[in-house]
Amino acid sequence: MNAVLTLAAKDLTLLVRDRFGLFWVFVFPLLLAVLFGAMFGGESGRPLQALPVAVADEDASELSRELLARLKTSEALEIKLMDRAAAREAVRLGACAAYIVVPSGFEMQAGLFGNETVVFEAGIDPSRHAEAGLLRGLLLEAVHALLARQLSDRAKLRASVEGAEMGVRFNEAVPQDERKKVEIFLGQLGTFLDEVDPAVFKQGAGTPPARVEEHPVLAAGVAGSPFEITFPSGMVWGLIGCVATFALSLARERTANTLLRLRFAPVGTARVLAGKSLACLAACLVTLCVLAAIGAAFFRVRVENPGALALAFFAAAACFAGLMAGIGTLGRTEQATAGAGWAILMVLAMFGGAMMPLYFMPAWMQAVSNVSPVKWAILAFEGALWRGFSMKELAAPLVGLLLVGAAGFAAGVARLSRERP
Amino acid sequence: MILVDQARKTYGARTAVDGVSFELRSGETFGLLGPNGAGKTTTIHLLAGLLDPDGGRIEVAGAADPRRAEVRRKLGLAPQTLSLYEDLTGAENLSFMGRLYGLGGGKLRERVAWALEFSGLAERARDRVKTYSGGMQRRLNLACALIHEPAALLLDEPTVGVDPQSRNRIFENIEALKKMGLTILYTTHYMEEAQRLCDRVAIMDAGRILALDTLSALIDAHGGAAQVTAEFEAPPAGIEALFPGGTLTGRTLRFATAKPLEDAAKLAQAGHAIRALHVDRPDLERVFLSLTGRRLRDE
Repeated sequence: MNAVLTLAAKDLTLLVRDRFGLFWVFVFPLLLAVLFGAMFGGESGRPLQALPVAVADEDASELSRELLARLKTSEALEIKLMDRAAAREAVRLGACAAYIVVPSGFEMQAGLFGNETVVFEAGIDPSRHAEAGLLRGLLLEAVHALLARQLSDRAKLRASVEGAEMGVRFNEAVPQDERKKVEIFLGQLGTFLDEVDPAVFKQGAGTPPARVEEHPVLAAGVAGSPFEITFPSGMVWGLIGCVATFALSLARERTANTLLRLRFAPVGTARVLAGKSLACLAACLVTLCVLAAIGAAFFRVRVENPGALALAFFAAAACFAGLMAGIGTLGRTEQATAGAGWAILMVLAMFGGAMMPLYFMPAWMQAVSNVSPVKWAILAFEGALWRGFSMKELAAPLVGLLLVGAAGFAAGVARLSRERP
Repeated sequence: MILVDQARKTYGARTAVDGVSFELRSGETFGLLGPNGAGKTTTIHLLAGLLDPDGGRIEVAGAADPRRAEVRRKLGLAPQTLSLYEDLTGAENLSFMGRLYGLGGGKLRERVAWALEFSGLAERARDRVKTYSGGMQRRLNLACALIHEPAALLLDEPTVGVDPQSRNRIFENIEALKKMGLTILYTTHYMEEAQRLCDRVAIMDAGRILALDTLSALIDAHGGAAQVTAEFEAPPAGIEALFPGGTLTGRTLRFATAKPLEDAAKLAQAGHAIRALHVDRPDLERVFLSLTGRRLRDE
């Protein structure tokens, strides 16, 4: 054990003296976590940057102006008024993410007795299709809210009924008998609107048919800061930085010929690799603790279960230290190791959700992500930080991480034992 | 101390070591002399247990497997290529290597101090190795092999790439180690080094040992006679008849002799005015040339 500690102490001393290596281990992951946190949520915790939308109001009615006013109240949208051609051009040039045309006759058709579906023309920037659903939902929500409000406005409803009555009365295409029936119905409806208690009317007609109410799914509530989402990814990047740095140092031992002296020393190949893995594990743990401390102190990242977080940190550090042993023995030169190492780590990061959230990925990629320890590490960190995982729920990712680490270490020892000077 | 019996090592179709046999006696300095690619480093790696032989037998300190930890503790290795941590200081390199061999506490401090003094690096002990000159790094490379007080030392071309002054310093270090009774295996392709340092020398080429003996015995057996070349003021008629095998070309007489000094005196007594006299005594270079038909540094 003394030899392993000696080897680890040597590697940590060398790491501390390597400023470039320190950057990748400590500074780079912190920058990533902060940068992505700022990108996804900003300082105020608002969900997204407002979507710039060009709107052409071709109805220019009171209702269409109300619609635009309502859309402008949404924090998710930034409404820019212009004509149809300019709106299309703004999207083509990337100045706006989408355009909407409020059609002529919108007010007429949107009333109680409109006989055609109102069709809004919309165009979405091809690169922003993820937000198309959001825009559609916000537009329909605004339209429905407007209609609901119209139904609770007696004067407007009365005017709508009179307009419909006039329209039917002089419509020669409708048979005389049918016109009479409709006129009677509309007359009675008008009387009803005149006589009903305004307070009751407003309550009844104005109640929306449905609404969505959000409930917290986590014991401690919804993640309070966007950095709570990005710091686990940043922590994984810290682990990746450690793996790359130590794998490269193993390759450097080979090219600098110090590996020959280590292999000649009476310690054995497994302990040589164990020493380097122990140093990597220690560096990983320090990186994770530093990031967690910075996240908690400056970015409102909650640590809900410190004990579980300590276990998650250890399992993830052990996993990546083991991976380092496997990756570090892949190439015989620093260039080969660096190339192979980053290729493997990038694929693991990409499929594991460290580069982009898993829900952005197609189904097959999400299925493949299950074999990436990056996904388990992020899940374990989130589980301990704010998902409120029980120890039982945490067990699966932790065991997975430890198994991957053990496999990586075993592969490294096997490769190094076969290697000849 | 070390026994190598019919050791063989091949890399694919290439045979690096081909039936090599020798024995290192305790306390002697044994030289493996040969050109680059002769198989010297592979032989060292076989002895160190860094390579497994494809055939033959290797014994170090009575043990058949040099990979065993107790055997490794009896050996020191100074590899041909420097193997030092450039971002550690000289003292840190020595201390690290000592700890790997189980040293600690006062014993480790004592050995580090000795190694720094021995290698003349005490004043630079706290400087990082990357600031050392090539010669200083070579001496530290040697000191790292000695930190655990091995009984035998494997030195693989320890003077490659160093200036003459540093080379002399290394020679002095090795001579001091000889006096301390260390068993030393020394590989080199410089015959001067083998002649100066080694008690016995094995001439190696293409993976095989061509000859093995003390320096004088090798020269006697394979060095041939000394070559005498005399240039006269005027061509001396018939003088070549005094020296069997002698040839006279113009004013220059050449002949081979086992007694060059006596024959030189005989030339002087012949009464001819001599402008220049050159005696080429046999050495290991001649031994190698005689054994292989090539010069040692043709490679």
